[in-house]
Amino acid sequence: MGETHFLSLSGAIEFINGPLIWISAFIFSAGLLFQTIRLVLLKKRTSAPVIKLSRAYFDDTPDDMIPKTPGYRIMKLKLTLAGRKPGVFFSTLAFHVCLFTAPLFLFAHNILFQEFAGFRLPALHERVTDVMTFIVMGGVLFFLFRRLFVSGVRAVTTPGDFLLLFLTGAPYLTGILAYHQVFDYKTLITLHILAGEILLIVIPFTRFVHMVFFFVFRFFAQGEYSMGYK
Amino acid sequence: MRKANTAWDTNKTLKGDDLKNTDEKPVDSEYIKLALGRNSEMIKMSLKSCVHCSLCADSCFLYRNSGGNPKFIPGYKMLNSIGRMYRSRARLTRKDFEEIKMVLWNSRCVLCMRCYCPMGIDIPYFLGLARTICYSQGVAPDYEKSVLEDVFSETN
Repeated sequence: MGETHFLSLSGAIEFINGPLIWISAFIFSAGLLFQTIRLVLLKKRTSAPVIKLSRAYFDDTPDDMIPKTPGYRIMKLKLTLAGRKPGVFFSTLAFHVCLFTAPLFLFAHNILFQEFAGFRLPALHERVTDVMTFIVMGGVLFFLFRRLFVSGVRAVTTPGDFLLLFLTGAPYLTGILAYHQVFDYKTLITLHILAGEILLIVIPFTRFVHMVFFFVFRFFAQGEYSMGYK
Repeated sequence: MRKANTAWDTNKTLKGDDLKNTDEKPVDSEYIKLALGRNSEMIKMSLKSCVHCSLCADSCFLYRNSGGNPKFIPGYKMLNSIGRMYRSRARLTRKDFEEIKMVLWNSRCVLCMRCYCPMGIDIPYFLGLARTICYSQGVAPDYEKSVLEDVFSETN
């Protein structure tokens, strides 16, 4: 028999299931922390908009001359992003909620975590997480549709957007196929773990960092449309 | 502080003669690198935060009145002006500047600062910065054309 290559399939699987999990978790948390610190330190280096904590979120726009009738409130709601583009807004909202909730409260993930740490988060029913996974995959398809067929989005799309969209959908697709044992389980679960690890590594260094930046910019940065304006 | 020796000298106002015949003048990379370098972290963070969602489109009144022309989207203007400048800082040519001038002016933006970004990116700041860099190279808009002509023209 010939000698086996050092990257034999079993070796790769052990690496993906073992050290790569720690590497990706470390890169994910350290990377996000690094990017957040870089963003917060911006105010010291430039004369551009300052990031500071503000209580503006709790203050209503003071305008005593306008009676706060229900009609006024409905008009204000209609002028928000949710009112103007409800399709995009609610599908993005559903996609993001399921994106975070499904992996965190998945029964299978929590069992593994309990074996590792001794405690776990409460787990959702498997059918619920199945539906959530389909919502995430539906969201990915919706974004793909928008990028291909809506002229406005196509104008600002770069090739990297499609790659990142694929990286987002891959863990969910491989996960649900592996769970229902549609194809070969061992291959699919390894691909699922690998896809998840790649996603975790890529998050702090691509536009997925909006995971953290959204909250910083939207609620703490000083600007006309952010709630940090004071 | 470096002494300005380009067409953009803070002590004098730009006259018509300064803006003509800019085709043969070489591009002053030093000023571009200085202006971009001072804001590089901000530009990098904002370009990274831009998720290419095009939700800023609806907030631009010029976009809405042009019938949804994608070239009027604030994100498009930002990515193709400051984004392009930042990606190829020292390699910008006179031709690049003429194309960037089309994106920044050309009746596509009046810097009304209404553009809204769900991620919180300050789009007017970057469009203003890109315009400053263009002015430093003597690239400025042609104010003889009418705004309406441009907004509704098919070639825009």
